[in-house]
Amino acid sequence: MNVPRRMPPLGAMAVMLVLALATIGVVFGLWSKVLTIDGTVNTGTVDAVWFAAACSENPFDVPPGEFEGKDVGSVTAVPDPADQEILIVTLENAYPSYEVDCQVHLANNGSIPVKIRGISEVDPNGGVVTEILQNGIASQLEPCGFTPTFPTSPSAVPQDCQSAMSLVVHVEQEAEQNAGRGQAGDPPAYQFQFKVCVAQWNEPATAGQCEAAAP
Amino acid sequence: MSRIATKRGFLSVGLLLMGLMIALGALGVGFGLWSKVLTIDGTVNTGEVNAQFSLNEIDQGDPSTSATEPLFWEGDSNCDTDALGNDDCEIEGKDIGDCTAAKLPGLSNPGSQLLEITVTSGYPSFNCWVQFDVSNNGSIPIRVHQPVIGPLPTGLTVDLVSGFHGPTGADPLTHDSECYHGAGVLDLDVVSPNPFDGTTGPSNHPQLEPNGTVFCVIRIHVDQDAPQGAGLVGGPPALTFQATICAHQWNEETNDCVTALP
Repeated sequence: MNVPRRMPPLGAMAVMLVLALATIGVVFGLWSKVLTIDGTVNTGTVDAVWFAAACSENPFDVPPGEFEGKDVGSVTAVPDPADQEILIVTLENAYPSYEVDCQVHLANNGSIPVKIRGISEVDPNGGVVTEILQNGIASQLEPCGFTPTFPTSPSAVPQDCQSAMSLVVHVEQEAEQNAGRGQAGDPPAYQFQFKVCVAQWNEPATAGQCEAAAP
Repeated sequence: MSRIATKRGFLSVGLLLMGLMIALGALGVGFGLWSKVLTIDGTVNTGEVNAQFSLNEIDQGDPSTSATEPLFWEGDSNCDTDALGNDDCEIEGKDIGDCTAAKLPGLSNPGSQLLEITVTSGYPSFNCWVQFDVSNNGSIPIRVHQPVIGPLPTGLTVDLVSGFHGPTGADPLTHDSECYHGAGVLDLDVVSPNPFDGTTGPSNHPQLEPNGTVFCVIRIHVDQDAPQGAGLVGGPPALTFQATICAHQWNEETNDCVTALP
């Protein structure tokens, strides 16, 4: 007995037809155009260096200078030969009441404005008091456009790309003698460290966040 | 689902979103901040205050009658002709008493901080002059206080002798006992007026640069009332005395110099 074949529903046939035509169209009949955007982002740098340091002895005494005009103690402030981002301050033959004030200058040698976000200190253990005085916390330093070598006169660096601060070191009465001389029984030298953190000007950050983000 | 339950659901989603935003913000600070640390490394090496004795000469004999050298041995006349610096010229050329001095090492500092003077077989009118230097063997200028002579036992006189002491023609800068400044002696202090006591004349605090020296003379005299046999077995105790010289850094003055010593 012949069973009559059932025709597919008319709707399904229409859909299949459209799909078939579309396929043929892609292969044979589609006209198209691709537009491309190639993107490149060159980033700037946040950077800073020490470029000058000038130290004076007992500047707050009257008259300023070592007592009776003598030359007993001495102080130097020079950058680490391998890294201009580290300034090495050394006091020699210091004694109670000996005090130095070092005016240290830093410059923005990066390409992005920066702000000083904080100064942290590792203090010596008694005998020596250190303090850093700076009025320009969060003041903005524009890029200098060059890296001033150490030492460069502050007057030779644009004022809007540099900042200065005053590092005061005072030897207390209880300071031990011969600290750092290195002979048996001598106490170790008094050591201190300051970290000055700068960050891009457009992001608020605490001193801790600034240091944590530094490379 | 009730309307209240639906509202709570929206609240929870809102809180979740807010927390997500805060977390993303924190990530932004942590990863998006560009910064730089400049470092100052500091080292303080301290100097040293130190002083030591050196011994020059010990003389025994009668005091000078010269008005310019009161109470001092008569001008280093070398009466005993032994060509040594020390003169032993007791009366009538005898050698009865003896006076010695020795430097003892410091307890904790380089150099000698103790001078021990011993008189043996002393007798009334016996004199001993010990000439010594106090020198600065530290690295910081010092001021030297006047020697302070402690309590003396009966029978003993100890004093400091001022004035010029040395052979004719000797350099007054090295033969003036600036350790004791009496009238008319040279003042070797480099600063006048003295910043501590304001005096413009001879200073009670001669100042010494490192390696500088101040010259002192101390006299020991056995008095008439000294006991016999002092210090001998079975005799009264020896007659002892102590003198202290305090030196301190030149830029600080203290009224308690001795106890500040290390």
